[in-house]
Amino acid sequence: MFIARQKFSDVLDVNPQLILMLPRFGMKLGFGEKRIEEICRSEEVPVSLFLMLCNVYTFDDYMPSDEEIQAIEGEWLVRYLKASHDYYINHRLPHIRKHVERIAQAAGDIGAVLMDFFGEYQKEVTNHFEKEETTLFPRISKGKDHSVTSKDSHEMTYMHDNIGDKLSDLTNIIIKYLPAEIMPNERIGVWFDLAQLSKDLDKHAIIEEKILIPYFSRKEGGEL
Amino acid sequence: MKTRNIVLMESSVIITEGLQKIINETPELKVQKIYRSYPQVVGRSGADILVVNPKLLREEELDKLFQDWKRENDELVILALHTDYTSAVVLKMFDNVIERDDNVSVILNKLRTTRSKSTDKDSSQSCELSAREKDVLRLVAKGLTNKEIADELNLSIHTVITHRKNITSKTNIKSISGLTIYAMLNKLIQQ
Repeated sequence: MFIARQKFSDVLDVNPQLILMLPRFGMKLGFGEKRIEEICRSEEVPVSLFLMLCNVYTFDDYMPSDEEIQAIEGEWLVRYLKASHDYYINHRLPHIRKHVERIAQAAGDIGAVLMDFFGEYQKEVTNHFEKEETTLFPRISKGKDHSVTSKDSHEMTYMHDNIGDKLSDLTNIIIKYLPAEIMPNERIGVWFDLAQLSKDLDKHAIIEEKILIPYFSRKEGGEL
Repeated sequence: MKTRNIVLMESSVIITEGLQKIINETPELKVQKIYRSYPQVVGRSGADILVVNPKLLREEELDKLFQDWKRENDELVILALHTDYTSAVVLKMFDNVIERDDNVSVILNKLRTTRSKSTDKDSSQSCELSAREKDVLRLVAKGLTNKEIADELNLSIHTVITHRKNITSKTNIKSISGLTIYAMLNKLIQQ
């Protein structure tokens, strides 16, 4: 487990994915040899939440205790989640789309169907995030009478599973089932992007389901 | 909620006593039997979850473990109790791994939520789709419901659902649109 007095560069050696934490918390590169507590302090980011998310991202078995979850800064968590959504919708998916487009162009008749599939996936992800941001997050920040219900949490889990299944289907089709001669290098390249996105989205889902929902449902006295 | 029965296979009394204490505090889980070594004969166990220390078995016995125990109940969940060094390849065969340093909530979570991976009996069969599975897949790709597929192929809905489960476990594709692409790529349907 990472601790506050570790150097952030050491943390990155253990899990390079954690570089994504910086833009999501509005933090900058160029942190040099600073410790986690130092960069968090200079950027006014709550260090306990930052560490908690780094640990969730890195250690599959790690889950913060109820007390730790109740002690986090909720507005910061929502801010982090929104920044993650922005990264998926406006950066990651368009980037992957370009790869898939190149593969689709070389795939003949099946190409159009593949693009439809990707488009459908992209739309589903975007709609899900937009729905969270327009219906769930505002209710959460309003407090008391707008608490999170078990329906919210079931709906969220269902959508996360669905999005995960589609991404896994896309990966399988691209790597295992398209004919061997279609753009092998491009496909190997996009495989890494898809694997990274899949891992990132899995952790994102865990953060929403296991930290966001419990935090706000208990905070507002709602029942799960 | 239905109680899930757990069978433990572990030589260390210290460990089984501890596990039993943790498990018995949870109403929906119950330790049903404890083996100190790998039993030569496996009778009907009624177990839902098997927690076994892989070091009780030689590597060549592992295959037999999965065959013996999943024969009766292919939904049976088999977890490794990881106390000493065991190779990652071996651990990967299990549905999940309980680590020696796991805390109580992690252990209970693994016991409660782990689902059985696609069963071993599939691995003895070919990974290719059978003729019947291809028939079902064609109709799935055309957008028919399970009921419509059952009527069309003269099968029960239950059989259709079984075929669909097998199609998904063989291809690793879950969504209907993904299966449609698979069907096209394998020339099962025209575009």
